[in-house]
Amino acid sequence: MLASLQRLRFGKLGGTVAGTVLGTVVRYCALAIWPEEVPNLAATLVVAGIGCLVLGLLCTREMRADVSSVLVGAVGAAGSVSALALFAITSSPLVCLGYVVAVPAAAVVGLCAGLAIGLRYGKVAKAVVADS
Amino acid sequence: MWLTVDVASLVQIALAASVGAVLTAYFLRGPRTRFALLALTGAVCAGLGVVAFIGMRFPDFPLPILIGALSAAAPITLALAPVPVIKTAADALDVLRRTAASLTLHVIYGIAFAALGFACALGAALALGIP
Repeated sequence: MLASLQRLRFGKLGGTVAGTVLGTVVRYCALAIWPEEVPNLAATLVVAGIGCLVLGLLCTREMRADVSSVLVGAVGAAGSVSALALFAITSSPLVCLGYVVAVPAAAVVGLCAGLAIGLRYGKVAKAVVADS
Repeated sequence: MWLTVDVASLVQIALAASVGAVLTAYFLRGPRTRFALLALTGAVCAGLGVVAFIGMRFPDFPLPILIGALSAAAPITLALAPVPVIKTAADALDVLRRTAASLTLHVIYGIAFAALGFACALGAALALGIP
């Protein structure tokens, strides 16, 4: 296992681990601050939407590898599928259904917004470069 | 739920999350099929279902460590992998179609496996006569 881990680029792995720690701590704090079902569902939707928006931007923009690995780690951990599964099974059936339906929808909307913003800014940047 | 915010819990969560992130990175060190990613999500969620049962039954159990590690081990980015670099609107539409289905599958499988883990832990406790 250690040999396989050494083959991973350490900077990328370190960035991902740092981002994951940040995202997990933020998600844990949000859960502890808003432990009720509906506020927690709302927090999960916001985190999934904003996280996928950031991922959409990352897909369309060239960025330094260490910065993007931190962002991907943080977004992935904050919107953890296992954490939302835990929230869903400990909630009422209606809220559980809300997790099943609303989380993928929020994530897709966020991803769509991120891709749209990224592609639009990319075009603007190219046009500015071409004009100058 | 049954969680509190204090420095000790946050340190435990952070350490456990780093372990979970390294284990996931080790699992993802090579190319993986979508089924493998889905299986990882299912296994982690089943583990978290067991942890949820243990946390409800034994309040003194060190939950933050297990929750931190298992939360970090199944990030939402697993449902989006592999994410290509997108240059045109057609690429974006293709990725959106693919990720919408993948995200829904991961969420449904995750919740189903977490419920299965919880039910298995409950069944085991009843079978063993654990109060």
